[in-house]
Amino acid sequence: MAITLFLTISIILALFFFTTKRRLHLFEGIVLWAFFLNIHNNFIGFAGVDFHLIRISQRLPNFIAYCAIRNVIFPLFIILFLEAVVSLRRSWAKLACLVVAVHLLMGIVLLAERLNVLQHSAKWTAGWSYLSWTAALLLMYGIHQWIRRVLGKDVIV
Amino acid sequence: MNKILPQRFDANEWFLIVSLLCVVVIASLLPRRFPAIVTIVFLSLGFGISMCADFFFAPPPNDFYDVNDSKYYELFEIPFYYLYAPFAYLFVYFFDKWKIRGLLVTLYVLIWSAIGTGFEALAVYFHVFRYKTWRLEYSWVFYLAVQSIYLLLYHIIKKQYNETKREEGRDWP
Repeated sequence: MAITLFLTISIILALFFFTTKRRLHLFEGIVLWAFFLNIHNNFIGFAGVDFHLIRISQRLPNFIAYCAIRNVIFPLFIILFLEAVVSLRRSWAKLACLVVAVHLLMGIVLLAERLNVLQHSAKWTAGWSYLSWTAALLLMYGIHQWIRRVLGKDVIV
Repeated sequence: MNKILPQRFDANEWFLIVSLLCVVVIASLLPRRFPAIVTIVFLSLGFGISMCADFFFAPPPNDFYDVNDSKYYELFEIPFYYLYAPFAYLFVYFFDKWKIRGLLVTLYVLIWSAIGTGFEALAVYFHVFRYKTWRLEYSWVFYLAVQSIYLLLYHIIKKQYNETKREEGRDWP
């Protein structure tokens, strides 16, 4: 069930992503994807593998579902969030966008937990999820601002 | 905390530090070839693809190998992934510099896959990788596949750059 659902979401999201007009340059997308994996890898490495706060399923189909979430769904979703932020002018609108994105990302995690793709330990609280996703999105926003500056020197953004 | 720090600071940690320093020095001493953003894109792809693959192969349920001293995620796994970035950069750097075309592309990929496999054999010797069910010949096939994909991405990136380049932007013929 989990593998079918998350692979379907991944493919639909990827189709939507690559067939609609993008506000972000391909290079921004590639760099953001790689940096997100970097952040996530370290997060799962320390919080999950070392401190057992998050446990990813060891059943192969569920593990593949998690790989789809981590490699496709989360990064594409974050890139779409950054696109939305770029198109917004007012600070409050950007902040509202951040709040919505944090909740949607937490919703994906919650769905994954319900389908036994991952499990949080009893020590984990919702506050940590808010904190970690907010921090991740702000970090990605910062990286995006930096990439945009470098990109703008040579390429039309 | 003892899960994060290396159990012993020995051969594998030194191997990672020395290798990373070597490839970074080599890559930075070479004359600049690509526009800054393209360099960042190639470096990002280098560590992004390695993280993607390692996440699939190393932890359970696959559990083909461990990296460094234990099954835990150590601080020294961070430089381990960054090692792939300059390696990937050098791969496309010489491909672009020597303007490799036709049958030579296959030869180039074969040579770099051999370099990659040879380097990995060294990493196994220095206990950076501790194979369980993984074998060096699988790495050979993996490098062949990934480097071929990397060359495909190189062409896409080059085309995209030239299509969207500013007039005053750096040339990349």
